[in-house]
Amino acid sequence: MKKFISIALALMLTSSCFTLFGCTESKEQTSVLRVCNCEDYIDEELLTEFTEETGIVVEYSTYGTNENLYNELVINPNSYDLVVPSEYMIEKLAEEGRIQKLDFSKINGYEDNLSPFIKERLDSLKVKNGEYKGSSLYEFMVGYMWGTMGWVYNTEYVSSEEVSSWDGVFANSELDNKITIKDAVRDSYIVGLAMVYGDQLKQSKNNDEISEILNRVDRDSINLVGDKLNSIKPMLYGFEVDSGKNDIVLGNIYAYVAWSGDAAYAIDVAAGEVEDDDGTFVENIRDLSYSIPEEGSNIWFDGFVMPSGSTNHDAVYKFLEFISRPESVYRNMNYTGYTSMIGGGEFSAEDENGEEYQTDIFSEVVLGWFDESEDLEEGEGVLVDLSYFFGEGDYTVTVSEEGFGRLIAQYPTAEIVERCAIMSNFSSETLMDINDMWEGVKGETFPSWLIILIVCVIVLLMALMVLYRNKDKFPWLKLPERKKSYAERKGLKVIKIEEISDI
Amino acid sequence: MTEKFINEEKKTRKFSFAFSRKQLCIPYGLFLALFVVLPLLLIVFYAFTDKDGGFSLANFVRFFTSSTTITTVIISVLIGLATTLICIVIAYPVAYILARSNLNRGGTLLMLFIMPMWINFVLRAMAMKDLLTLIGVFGFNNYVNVIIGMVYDYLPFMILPIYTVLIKMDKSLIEASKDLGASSFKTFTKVTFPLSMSGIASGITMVFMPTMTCYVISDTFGNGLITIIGKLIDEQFTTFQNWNLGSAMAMVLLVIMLVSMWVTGGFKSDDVRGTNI
Repeated sequence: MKKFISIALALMLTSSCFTLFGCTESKEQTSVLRVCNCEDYIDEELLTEFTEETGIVVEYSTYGTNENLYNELVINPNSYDLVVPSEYMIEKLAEEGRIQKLDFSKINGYEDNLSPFIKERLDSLKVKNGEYKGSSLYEFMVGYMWGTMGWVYNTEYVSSEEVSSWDGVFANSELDNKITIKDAVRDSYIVGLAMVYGDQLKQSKNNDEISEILNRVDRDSINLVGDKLNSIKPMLYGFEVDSGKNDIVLGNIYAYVAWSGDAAYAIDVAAGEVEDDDGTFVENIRDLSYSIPEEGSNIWFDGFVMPSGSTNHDAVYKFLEFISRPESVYRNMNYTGYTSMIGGGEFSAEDENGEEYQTDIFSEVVLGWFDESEDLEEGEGVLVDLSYFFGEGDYTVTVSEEGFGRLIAQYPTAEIVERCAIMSNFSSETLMDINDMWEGVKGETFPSWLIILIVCVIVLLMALMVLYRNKDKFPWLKLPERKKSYAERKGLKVIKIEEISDI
Repeated sequence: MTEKFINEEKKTRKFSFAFSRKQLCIPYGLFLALFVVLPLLLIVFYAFTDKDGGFSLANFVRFFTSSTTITTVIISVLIGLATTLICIVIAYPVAYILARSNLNRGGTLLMLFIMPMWINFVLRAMAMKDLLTLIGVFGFNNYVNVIIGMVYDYLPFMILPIYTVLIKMDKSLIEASKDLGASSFKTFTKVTFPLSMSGIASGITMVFMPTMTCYVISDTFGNGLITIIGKLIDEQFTTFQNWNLGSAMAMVLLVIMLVSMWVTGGFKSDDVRGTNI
C-alpha cells in the first residue's frame, strides 16, 4: 500500500509537470487569437488596439525562417490561428493541405483595396498537387507585404552600370572582397540562374518567359549555377542573411544582394534619415542606392494564411479585417519599411496643427516620402507612373536620379516588375540536387588523397594516445627504465626504510 | 509495554509516507527517458530510414561518398583541434597563476575571467568581431578569424577545470617534492602537471566537442565562408527539409564525439569535472 501511494505521488509529481506545459490548451478558444509572424514585421501597438476594439486577446509570436514555421506546423497543425509565410511556402502548405481557403466576403474592404497588380499575380499562381490542385494562391491568403531582390550599392565605388546586371560587379577587380550574397539557397540560386542565363533573359519578351527561365531546376541548370557561384566565391566578402545591411552602412562592403525592405532601411540609415533610439538623427554617412538588374529578379509576397487546424474563424476574420484597413496598412509600412500589397482606400490622419484630414496611401507614402517635383527644375528628374499598382487614375511621382533607387526599393516601376519572377516551391527531389550543389558552393572540397592522408594521421594520433594511456596493460610497450637511479647518479647513500629502525 | 509500543510504532509507520530513493528517482527517470533517450532513438530512427519511413542506408552512403561532406567534417575536426590546443596553451598558465598567486584573493580575478560567460555568446561574438575589425587584426584569413572567435568563446571552459584541479591539489605533495631536492621546474613537470591532467582532459571534452558544431561563431567570424558540420546539420533540418540525412549526420557526429571522449579519457570516473562556480 505504502509503495502504491508513493508511486502514485511520484506519478502525480511528473504529470503535474506535463499539465504545466499543456496548460495553454485549456484557454478559451474564442477569445484568444494565436498569430505567428516574422520578427519586426508589424507595428505591435496595433495588436493592443485590436484587443481594445474587439476584446480578442492576440497571442503574438515570431518565427525565424519559413522552413522553421513549416516544421512547427507539421509537428502541431493546431499551433496557430494565423501565420505569415512567403508565397512559395504558402504553395507548399496548400499542396499538403495544411492551410484552409479564406472567405473574402467576411473581410470588409480587403478586395477593393488590394492592388490590381498583386491580385493578378497571386491569381496566376496555381497549386500544383494535392486536394487543392488548380486553386490559385489568392484564395488562401490575405496579402501583407511584398518586395523584390536586387543590389544595394555604395554610389562612391560602384557605378550604376555595374549593378545593372547581376555579374557586372564581379568584373571590377576593385570590388574584390567587397561584395556579399545571400546565405539562403533560394535567393542565391535565382541570382546564379540570372547570371547563367543572362543573355536569354535579356532577350525574353514577357514575364512568362522570364518566369520559366528563373524557375529552371533541371540537373544541368543546377550544375551550371553551382559552377557560377563557385567562380564568384573567391571575390566575395562573405555570405550573409542579416549582417549585410550593417556592413554596407559601416563601409565594410560596397555592394550586397538585398531584399527590398532591407534595402530601403539601409539606404535611409546611411543617408541619416532614421531616428536613433534617443530621437536624434545620425548624420549622412554615405550614399547608397538600390538597383534591380536588367536580367530580372525575384519578386516575393508574404500573406496571412489560416492553418487547417484553426477553428477560431470569427476572431481570424475580425483580425484580417482590422489589419487590412488602410490606416493599419500605413502604420505597418511606416514601422517596418516594407511595402504593403494594399494600395487603395482612404483613412483620416492628423496634420501638424492637429487637424484631421482624409488621405490615402499614395499621397502619404509615395508623394509624402518621395516626391521631389518642387525641388527639381523643369525637365529634370524621372517621372514614375505607379498606376499599375494603385489602379486607374493619376498615380505619377517625380523623383531625382538619386531618389529613384530609393523609390524602387519601395515601389518598383511597371517595367521592373515585368522582369521579376515568382520562384516556385522546390520539390523534394529537386531539393536534394540543390542541396548537393549548395554544399559544394558553401564548403571546401579536398582531393581524395588529402582526405585519406588527414584521416590516417588523425587515426594514428588517436591510437598512439590510447596506447599511451593504457601503457600498463601492454608490457611490450614499456619504455626501458633508466639504469641508474637518482641517488646512484648523485652518489648518495641509499637507506631502505626497513633498515631505519636498525640505525 | 515497550514491545507493544514498538508494534504500534510499526503499524503507524506502515501508513506514513516515506519515499525510498528508488521512488524519488521516478521523475528523473521519466525526464531522462523523455528528453534524452527518446530524442536519441528518434535520431537513430530517422538516420536509418528514408522519406517514406522504410529502412535505408542511403543517408550514410550519401554522407560518406560526398567528398564535400567529409571535407567539412575534417575542417570541423581541425578547427576543433586547433582551438583546443590554443585554449590549453593560454588557459594553463592563467589557471596556474590564478590558483597559486595572491592576486586571486577571494576569487576576484577568477570572477573577471568568468564574467563574460554571463553575457549572451552571440552578442559577445558580434562585439568581438567589431572590436577586431576596429583594431585591424580581422579579415586576413577566415580560418584564423574563426579560430580566434572560438578560442575567445571557449577559453573559460578550459580555464575552469584546470583551475579547479590545481586549487584542490594537495599542497603537501609539492612541499614533499621540494623537500626531496627537486627544483621548481622539476616539481612542475613531475608532480603538478601529471596531477592536473584530469583537468586538462575534461577541458578538452568541454572545448573540442562544442567547437565542432558551434556554427554561430563560424558564420559570424568567417562571414559565412567557412562551413562546419553543425551548419550542415542545421541546413538539413531547416532549408532542405531532409530530416533523415540530418539525423545521419548527427549520428556520425555523435560517434566522433564518443571516440574523442574515449581517447581523452573522458569516461574515467576519477575525473574532476567540477566546473561550477
